[in-house]
Amino acid sequence: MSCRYSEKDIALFVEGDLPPLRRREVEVHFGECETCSGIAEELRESQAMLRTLRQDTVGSAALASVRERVLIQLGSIDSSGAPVGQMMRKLERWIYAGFRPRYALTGVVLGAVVSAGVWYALNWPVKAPEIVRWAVRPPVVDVISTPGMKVSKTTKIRRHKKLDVQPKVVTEESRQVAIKLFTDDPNIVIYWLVDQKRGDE
Amino acid sequence: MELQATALWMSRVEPEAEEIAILVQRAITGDVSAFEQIVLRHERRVLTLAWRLLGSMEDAQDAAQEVFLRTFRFLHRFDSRRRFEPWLIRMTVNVCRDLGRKKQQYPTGEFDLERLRAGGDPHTELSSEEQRQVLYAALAGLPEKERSAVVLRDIEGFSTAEVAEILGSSEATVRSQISTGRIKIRKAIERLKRGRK
Repeated sequence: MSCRYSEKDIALFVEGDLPPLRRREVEVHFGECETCSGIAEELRESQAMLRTLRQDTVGSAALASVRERVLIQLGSIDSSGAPVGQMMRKLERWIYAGFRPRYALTGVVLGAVVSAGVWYALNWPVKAPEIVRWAVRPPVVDVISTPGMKVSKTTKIRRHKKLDVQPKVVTEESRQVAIKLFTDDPNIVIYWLVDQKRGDE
Repeated sequence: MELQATALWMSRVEPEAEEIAILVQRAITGDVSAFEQIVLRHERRVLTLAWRLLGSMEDAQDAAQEVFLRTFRFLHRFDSRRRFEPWLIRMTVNVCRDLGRKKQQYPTGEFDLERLRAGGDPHTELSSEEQRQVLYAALAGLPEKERSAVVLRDIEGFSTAEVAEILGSSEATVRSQISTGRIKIRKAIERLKRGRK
């Protein structure tokens, strides 16, 4: 078919399944195209035949047979497993709170998403990392004047680069001091460790 | 005029919906006689639809039995604010789909198109019985989804929106399925007519 309307459009048209605007367009087209109007006629005929199947119905015997089978099954459910079945149904109703499982599942997923969002919002912005600045002050040492004795002192201060967020600065003083004592004998070096807190060696 | 018609329709439908709601509530508590009333009201519709979808009365009876047993089991899931029949029809379609998958194919033995084509008198129009057989044979030749859409829309008389809801598809999908199905049925009838001439 070389027309701009497909056979599918015509199949929908004959039963009024096209939107109104499209329907009017197709109607106008039928006035110009014999092929399409011929197809529409054939489809109307086959659809009319199809509708005759609505008269077909099932016999009373078949219905009675189904009903009997259903009631027998229900009777066996009722006599053997009714309490269990009813308990299961009650449990299911309690779990789903009267909703269908898929709605209950959707609710759980939505709840999880909302909870995650709230948690994220409460924890934002993330706290700036706590930066510890070590400031080692030169220990105060009572140096016993010994000829040739040298005292080495080391001071290291780490400085941080400029940050957008003011870091919390914690200053801690060193607690141990190492004193190196040189004696006249170059082979003898004395290391003196002083614990400032306790004040003993 | 339209309002009057709607009011008349509502007055007919609402008491029935109310009765069904009461029966459903009783059946949920385990009242088998209330459920029997539900079966009596809907058995014809369910069995006929199953027969049209499956093409065999034996399978249709099995399907209808399964539909009512599932209905009893899952009645507490039914939303009483909605209409009962579409819910039951959806269950029927699902059961038939499951059964059809197990059986793998729609039985075509009862409606053999080739036999009809060969056996008919070329000088007479198709008799109503032959027409019926041709139509069932054509339906048998459709894929399961197209057949369900055509049966529900063109034979059962549901609207496209209702068919979409029953089948769990979009209206556009249903329109595509029914248009393809209608074309195939028309072609099957044409082939038969040509074969006899």
